Amino acid sequence: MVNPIEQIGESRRRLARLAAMRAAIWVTLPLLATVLFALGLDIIAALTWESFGYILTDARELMVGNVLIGAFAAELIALAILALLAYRRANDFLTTAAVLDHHVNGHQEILTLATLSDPANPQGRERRSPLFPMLWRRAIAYLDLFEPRREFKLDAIQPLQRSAIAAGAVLVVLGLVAVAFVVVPTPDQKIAHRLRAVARALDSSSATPAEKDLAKAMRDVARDLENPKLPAEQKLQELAAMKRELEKIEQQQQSGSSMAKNSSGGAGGGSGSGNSKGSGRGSGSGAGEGQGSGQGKGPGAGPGSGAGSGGKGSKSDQKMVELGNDISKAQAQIEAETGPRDQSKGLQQANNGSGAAPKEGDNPNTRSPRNQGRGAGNVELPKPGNEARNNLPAPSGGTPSGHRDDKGAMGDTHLGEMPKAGNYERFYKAGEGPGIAIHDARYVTFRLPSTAIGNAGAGRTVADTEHPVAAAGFTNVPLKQGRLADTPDERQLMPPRYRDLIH
Amino acid sequence: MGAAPQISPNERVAEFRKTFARAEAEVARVIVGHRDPIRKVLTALFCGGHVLIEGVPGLGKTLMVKATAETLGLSFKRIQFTPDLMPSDIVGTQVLAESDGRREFNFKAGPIFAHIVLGDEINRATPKTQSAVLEAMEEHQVTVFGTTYQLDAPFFVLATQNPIELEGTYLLPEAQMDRFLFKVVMGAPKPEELREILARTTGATSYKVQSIFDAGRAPEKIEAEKALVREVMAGEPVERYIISIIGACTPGGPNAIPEVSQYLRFGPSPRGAQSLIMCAKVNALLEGRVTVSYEDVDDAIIPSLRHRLLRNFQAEAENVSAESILEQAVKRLKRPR
Repeated sequence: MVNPIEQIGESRRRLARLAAMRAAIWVTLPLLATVLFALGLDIIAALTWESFGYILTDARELMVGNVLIGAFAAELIALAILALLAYRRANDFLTTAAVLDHHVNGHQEILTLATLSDPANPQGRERRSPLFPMLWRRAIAYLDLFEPRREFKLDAIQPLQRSAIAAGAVLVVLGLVAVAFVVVPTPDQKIAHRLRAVARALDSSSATPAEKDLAKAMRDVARDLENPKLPAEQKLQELAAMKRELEKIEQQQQSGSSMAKNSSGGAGGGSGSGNSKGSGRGSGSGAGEGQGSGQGKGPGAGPGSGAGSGGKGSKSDQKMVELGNDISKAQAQIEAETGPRDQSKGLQQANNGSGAAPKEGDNPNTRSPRNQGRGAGNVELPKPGNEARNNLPAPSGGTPSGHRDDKGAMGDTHLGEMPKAGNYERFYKAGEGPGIAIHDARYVTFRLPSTAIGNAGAGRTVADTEHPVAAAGFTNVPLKQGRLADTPDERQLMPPRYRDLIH
Repeated sequence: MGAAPQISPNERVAEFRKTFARAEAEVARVIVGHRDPIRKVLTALFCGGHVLIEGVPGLGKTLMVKATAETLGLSFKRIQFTPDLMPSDIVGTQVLAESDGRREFNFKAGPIFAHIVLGDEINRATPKTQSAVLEAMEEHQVTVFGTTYQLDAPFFVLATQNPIELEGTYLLPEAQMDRFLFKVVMGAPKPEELREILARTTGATSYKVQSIFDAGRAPEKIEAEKALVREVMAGEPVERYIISIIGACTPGGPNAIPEVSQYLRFGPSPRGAQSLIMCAKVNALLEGRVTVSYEDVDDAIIPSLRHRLLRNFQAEAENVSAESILEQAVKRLKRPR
């Protein structure tokens, strides 16, 4: 026969545990939301404020990280406190009796029995009447078939609902906190931010020591860029060095692409002799991905196609290409900001190999001190573990970076930003320039007079009666045949896949 | 705790329920309808309290009391209260008597000396006469010329009060009202009940009630049932619930509801709480339980407290009844645990 007091005690422990679990559930989703927010901060940033041009600088990202850690810790503490309070509140003899009473529809008989038998209140026993045995038997009848584990189950729906609301609120608050920390970046901050992103991608997607070193160097450069005490020329040097390093990686990828081309082109060769074309990209190690298409010609040859795949790191490659563009822009902007001062100091070598787009309105045909500098860069990339500006690597030979028409930016219109030329006006406008004459023109446009059209021997002649007729005599003069000495300073960002086709 | 019962608690409770049901059924033989007033009268009897019955003339108030007395086999006296009724007319007086050549004063007991006393239209007597009943109701004793006389148990006063024709009447003072356990209001019968009343009272057949107890054993039986009622247990949460009700109905108290503060001059006294818990105990026994539940208390609130609330002028002007205030209080109260 069941003892009602023991039954109440067992139910009390069960209810206390359930109450603690419900309280824990209440805090679980906010806790999870905080963790997810922290893990997905980069994605959230890319989808929200970074798409509007704002960033979290390194220092502010650290602050947001601290806020997230604080929120996580606070939620953990809240979970523990709430669970403990719920456990203590539910771990009450009379409260349990009331719950039992309600559960078995006992009309306060269990509750009254508990008040008269509460172990914590011995005075209650003195209030028992001669009718108490009847109450005891009735309580046994109520609780005889009562199984606390079966009757009291964890109902997680309601705490989960409340928890979901709380999690939403936590997400909103965390989002607002993060937004409160974002800033409109300066070029330095922007490039530093991008460098860190690429460094993170390198760290996460590769494990080679070289890439880790590069990532470390990127972080060092990023830190230096955000250092307001560093002079602008120092920053430019580091940027140039970093750019060269990226170009070197790009070249390695190019060599990898030729390997990929060979492999994909072979697939398209068909039987017999045939021409095949392919293009592809691959990582520098040669185990790259490749795409190719081929068409066979010749007797017995059928159309063929092939594709190669494999490799990794395409996302980081893409980031590096974008990074190269950004570095160029940042260099241009830093130069623009520090231009007059640099000119006066003769620091034109800072622009060596940068491939930066000239400012709009500059005359590319005029040799300025800035434009004269060319040739291999002489700034090293920072070595990991050392201060960036003191550890710039030696030129990584081969590529004569620094020439205006190099492929420094590696831009690709399909990768994101449409390249914009800084000085697209290659020619003088009418009335500009020193003694410009028609002989200097590369081409001229003219309109034939209607009479000349009438004298034409062949073809179909259509008289232009709608336009005025030239009054003065005219004659064709030889046009200037040569090209401008300077390569256009417009940076044509050539998609890599076309570089082998256009010479 | 009362005398040690010879039979088991279960049997005692069953006996109580049987007695109560038989008494109800017997009174209902002559009283058509009015089930609730009948139950409340019997409840008060087993609680050891007194009942004030209010209703317009002709509703069967006096008949119900007489039927109750006859059913229980108790002695019954009826006092018609009038303005010239004197206290001695109720409690009795000393009369000069000659016995064996000697003259001496003998006590002539008044009509108060009965088990069940019906004070008809008690509000028509003067306050002096009304107060003569006070000691009897509360102390179950009367004092005449310095001599105290105990009243036989059970002593049960049923007073009726006519809410109309109030000219020349003396409203019961609050102190006397507080001594009644319940105030029972008898309403007009429903049409079908009225038709039954006509059939029973105007026909050739007369209905008589029979005592449910053996002759002479009624007082002992009723006292045993009263002891059983007191043995019913009320848990601490239920007691706190009753206290919260009293607190909610006490104007100026920290837990008074707004309606109480607005419409009442005085709230219930501790007798109100006693009345609540005693009535709840009887309700519990009638349900076969030996502990009081919240529902038992709720059922007792209005009859136990409505005559203990003293309304102010605003309440009377706005026709706000004590019952409506009590209902508001119950609605707003939260049961413990």
